[in-house]
Amino acid sequence: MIGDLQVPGPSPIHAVPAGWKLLALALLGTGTFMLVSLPAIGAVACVVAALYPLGRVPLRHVWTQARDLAPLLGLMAGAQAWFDGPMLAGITVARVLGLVWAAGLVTATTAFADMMAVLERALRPMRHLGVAPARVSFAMTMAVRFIPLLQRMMVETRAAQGARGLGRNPFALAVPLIIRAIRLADRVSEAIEARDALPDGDADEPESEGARRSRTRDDREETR
Amino acid sequence: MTTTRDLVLMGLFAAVMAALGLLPKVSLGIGVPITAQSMGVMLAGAILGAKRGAGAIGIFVVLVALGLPLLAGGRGGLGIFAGPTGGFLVGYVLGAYLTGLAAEKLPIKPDFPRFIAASLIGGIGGVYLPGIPHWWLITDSALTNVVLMSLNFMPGDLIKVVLASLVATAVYRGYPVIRRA
Amino acid sequence: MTDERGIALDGVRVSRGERSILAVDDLRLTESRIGLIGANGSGKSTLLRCFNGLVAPDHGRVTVDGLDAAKATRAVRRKVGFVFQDPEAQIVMPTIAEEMDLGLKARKLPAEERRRRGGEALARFGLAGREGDSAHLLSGGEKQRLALASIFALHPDILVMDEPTAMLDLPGKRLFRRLVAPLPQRVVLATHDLDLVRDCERVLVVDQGRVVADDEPDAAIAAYVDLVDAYEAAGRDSAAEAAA
Repeated sequence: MIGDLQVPGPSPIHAVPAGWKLLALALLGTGTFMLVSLPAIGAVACVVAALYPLGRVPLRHVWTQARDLAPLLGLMAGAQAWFDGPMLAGITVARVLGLVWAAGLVTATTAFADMMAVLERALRPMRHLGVAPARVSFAMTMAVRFIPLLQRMMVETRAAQGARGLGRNPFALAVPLIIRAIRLADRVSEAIEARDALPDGDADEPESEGARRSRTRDDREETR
Repeated sequence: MTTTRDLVLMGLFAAVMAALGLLPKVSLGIGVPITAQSMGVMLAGAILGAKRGAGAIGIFVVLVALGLPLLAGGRGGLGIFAGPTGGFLVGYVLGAYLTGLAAEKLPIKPDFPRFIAASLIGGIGGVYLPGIPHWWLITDSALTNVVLMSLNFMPGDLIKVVLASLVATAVYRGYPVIRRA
Repeated sequence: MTDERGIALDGVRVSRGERSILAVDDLRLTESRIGLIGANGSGKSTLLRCFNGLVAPDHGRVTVDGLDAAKATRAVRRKVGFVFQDPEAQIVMPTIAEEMDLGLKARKLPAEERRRRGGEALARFGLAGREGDSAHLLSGGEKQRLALASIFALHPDILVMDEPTAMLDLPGKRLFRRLVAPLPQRVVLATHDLDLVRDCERVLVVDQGRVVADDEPDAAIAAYVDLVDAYEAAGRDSAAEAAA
């Protein structure tokens, strides 16, 4: 994927398991709300920024994250400084920056596959709530597979519509893309059913359902 | 019962959301420029219905959290959730769900007006519901300030409601995916 | 017992509303290479989908090696591997390894067995050692081969294919033919590719939902050409007729 958010390791921070990093992030999040002094929070934010080189993440990332937040944060800080004083505004800015930097560092030093693994572990107890973790994982991995394809389809649609002078028209771009995607979904479902590849969900799935539904697949309407 | 087709539609529409992120932002003159991607929330609900729409957007949001650069501009990762606008991403899921619910249940027969109503309820109501409190908590500023700031997004949001309803109506004519009771 | 081997259709009727899509009374397919030819909309795709229960007939029965496709659908789908026309629609996982693993995991095979079967199938279809590769970056032909490999790894008894080479270029089509020829399974395929048709032992011509010719390849092709000529002479093309 173009413009990956992850930075290659190895580094001491890359080596920390994903679960621990997420826990640390959560603790930091709650912790900074309990700190009430500007120097303290400011120090925390600086420490986080200083960890970037330890994770082999270029400091440039610290800057770009701050820059992306600047308009919104600046506006809020300005209003807060006016109403509540500069001290409180400073605390807000330091806290938001610190947390965003910390979260950014976790993302930059943790492989997507490792994050996925944490999610799957977290989903396991959910099966008692009627959620099938294997199916959630399946749908998510399918999305990952199809993202580059749909992005390519979008580029093709833009080129095709561009030739008709509609290259910047969101309507002319979204409608064909979505229709193509739904048609593709029909073919994909058919192929998965034929392979009997769907991971386990409910125990008692009537299989004639699939046959009946596939027969009416061209009806394009789904009964509820 | 979640069928194969349900799961595939969810996965594929999550990919559609990612593809919408490739479209350039549109400036309106007033307010914040809008992305086609935020339209996707209302589209997911209107076209796929509440459950699948929420599932699709849920997959998308989780993938962003796990570190994929799927938001417009190639953004993504946990940093987004830590910032002021993080709540709106969670709101995307609720927004899709409520748009879908309204699109399925509202007693308005013609598609376009029904989608308008559904998108207002879900796309604005549903998205702002987690969005505002998160923003307020993260920045610890007065609620009135937060609400005033959000008004910046309003012109864009209203345009999105209309646009999404037009797109959903056109897709429905070409390929209805859900059937109303 | 030998009676049961093969695909059998008895009094099969498939309709959509008023329109009859398929009407096949007595068909027994036991040969090792069978072809289906016919125009678009002729019903050959529907016929193929009866063979693995993707389509359940409104009347009549489809049995595959003695199993009723409507009642024992899961067992039939494990026996019959189905290759579709669109390579993109058949690959659902981001990497080759995950794709191969998907069906094998659904069969609840242990990891060692999955790896062995996966490697074996990939090697057979010219994708050896590429487990880590991204599925998206494969060519259309490679995707079709991956689809074939992932189905082959499940060890089906019968392979059914719906215009498998329609979206491939000529080298892709030729390679596909070379790979299918030595397969030990019984193969039934619908195709417009006459080279593939000529590889078959028995060829059926389908028109307007009925089997109108059933012969060895050259005779069946000739019958199909006559049919198309007849439609042309009558001022209609058979696809438009079927859609009417």
